[in-house]
Amino acid sequence: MTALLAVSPVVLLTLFVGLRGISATRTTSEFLVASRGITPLVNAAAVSGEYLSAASFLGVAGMMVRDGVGALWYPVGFTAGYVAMLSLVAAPMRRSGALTVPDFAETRLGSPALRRLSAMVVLVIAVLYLVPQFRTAGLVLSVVGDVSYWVGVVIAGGVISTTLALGGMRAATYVQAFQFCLKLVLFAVPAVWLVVTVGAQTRQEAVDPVEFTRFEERTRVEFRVGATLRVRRPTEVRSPDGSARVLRTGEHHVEAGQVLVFPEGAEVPTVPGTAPPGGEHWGRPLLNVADAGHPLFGTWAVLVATVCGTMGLPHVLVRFHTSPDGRAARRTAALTVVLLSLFYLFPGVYGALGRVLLPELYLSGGTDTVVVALPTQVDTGWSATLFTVLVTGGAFAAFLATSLGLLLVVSGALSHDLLPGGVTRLRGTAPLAAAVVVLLALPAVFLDTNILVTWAFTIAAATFCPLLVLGIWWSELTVAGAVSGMSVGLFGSSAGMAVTLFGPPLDGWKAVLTAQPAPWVVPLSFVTMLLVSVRTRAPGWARTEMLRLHLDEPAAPAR
Amino acid sequence: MSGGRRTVVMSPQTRLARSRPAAGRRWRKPPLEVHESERAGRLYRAQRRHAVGTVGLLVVLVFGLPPLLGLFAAAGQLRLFGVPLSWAALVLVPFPSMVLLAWRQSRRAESLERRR
Repeated sequence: MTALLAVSPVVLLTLFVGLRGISATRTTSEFLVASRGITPLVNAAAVSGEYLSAASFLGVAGMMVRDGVGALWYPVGFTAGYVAMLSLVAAPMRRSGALTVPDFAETRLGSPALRRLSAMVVLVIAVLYLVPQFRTAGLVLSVVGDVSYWVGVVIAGGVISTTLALGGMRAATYVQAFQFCLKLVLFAVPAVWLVVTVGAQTRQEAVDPVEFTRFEERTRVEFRVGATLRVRRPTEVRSPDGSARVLRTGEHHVEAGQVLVFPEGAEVPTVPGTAPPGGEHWGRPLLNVADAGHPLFGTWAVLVATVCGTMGLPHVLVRFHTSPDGRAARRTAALTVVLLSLFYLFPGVYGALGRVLLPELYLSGGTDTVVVALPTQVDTGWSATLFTVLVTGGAFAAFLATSLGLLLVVSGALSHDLLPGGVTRLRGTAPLAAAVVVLLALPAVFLDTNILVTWAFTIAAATFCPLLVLGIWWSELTVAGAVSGMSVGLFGSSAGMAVTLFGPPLDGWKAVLTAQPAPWVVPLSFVTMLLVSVRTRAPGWARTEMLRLHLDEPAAPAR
Repeated sequence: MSGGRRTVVMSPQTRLARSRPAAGRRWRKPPLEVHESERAGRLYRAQRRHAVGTVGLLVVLVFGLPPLLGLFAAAGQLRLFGVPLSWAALVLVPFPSMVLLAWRQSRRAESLERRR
């Protein structure tokens, strides 16, 4: 019931706003870039609405519960990416006149092969980014209402592909701009309510972290995904039906779907490979990536990945093409920094309160649900239900907006860049792509989605970021250089991620550098592009093509 | 209706976009005129200078803050309205600074382009 209340208004409003865009969409340019008529403020709201995905709405607070205050560096990196984009990419990118990122690659370097490679990279990034969105949609709905995981996933897929197939970019723009406002309100208001309602003692505990070692009350832990627990002292646990059993000292594997009830005062088991929330490391404002013991380097690694990755995310870049000119594209980026800064004032509130009220989520690996689970922890009755409905609606808006943008670039890459066709084919591609992603998201419930998002960011940082920065600012970049640099970036980051997902457990430097490969793979990709380009010769028109990107539009006639 | 030929009326951008053949075939835009090319070169150099400045400041801010806050947290329990200073600074320092940085960069880039 709660789930229905939360999701149906968001879905209906999305469809309503989206359907208003139908009649206008007749050309490819209209479908992909809304005929470039979007004003900076609307566009910035749309960029922010699209960018604030499940990772921002739920993930940052969840990571803060699990990993500590250092998780707040993620939003800093997400926002800093736009300052870099504003300085280096926004206006020249818009002035290239391209419709998609692969289009830009072909316009600047004149190579259809590079266009196809870029389109492939767009597909890889978009799928890696879409699967976690759909997974979180399914998980959140199954936490809030008693629906199965797959129902949420299918609902998300259906709504998004319908909106997109009918309305294209203009619909997506209004939907996303509207959803930014929705998300900001649905995130900020419950945060303030939580801080006011929790009471002085919890507020005090929130800023004085203590390590989570003992259950302060009878605690029910629901394992949606299997987990391994290490028990240091025999602990009696009960199942919801009342049957008791004793967990002996040592490691235990808990199957997915089990529920354990720990008694008051029992010692908290540990999760191998992670430290319990609240300890001394938790309060340090640094990110200990992979618990490898190099927090400062880990923080820097995350910042490199998020800042450079933001510059190369195809669904964000395509938004800049909807601006009427280069100046508007730049203003869009600047306003986006402001809007994101507003939103990112709040995840810390959820994280700090979640650490006090729901630390047990870390046992089941379910910290991502902390935002939607908090309201019922601080209050009972109608107000808790109301605020649960509000944050769930906001979270659902977050997946819708992000998935909409990603699906749009998937359609663009498939039926504009790889197999050029008209707007009819573009419309048809969106539901097909959504169906494929739904199928991929169904088994993904067991994956740690942060790995997939990190992977997408790292690939973007190691392929499109160097391609755009060097393509815009260095006339000697050649096709051979771009292709080899992008390949190195794609394979380097994928190798690191494959080792993290499937390889043997590592520790120390090796663990940081495979779990977060950006610090070596981004420089490597830049250097490869530079060296290979120096050894090959750029054609005579290359300098003109680069300079053209920096030429401003003639001043508009006075009105 | 006179017998004059009918001509298609469209904006210069549309004409440029329409003149582009299907994707996959080689096609180059017409070269820049001399005065355009000079202006583009001037803008390119000036914008590059500003962009490097802004990105440099951004790098100092974003990458300099973690070691600084790490030291702060180790140094002791400074508080701001009860919240540990190193936590508050993690939100209250970078975001306003980035807003200022973005505003400044956008203004400077636009003022370069206003010069004719």
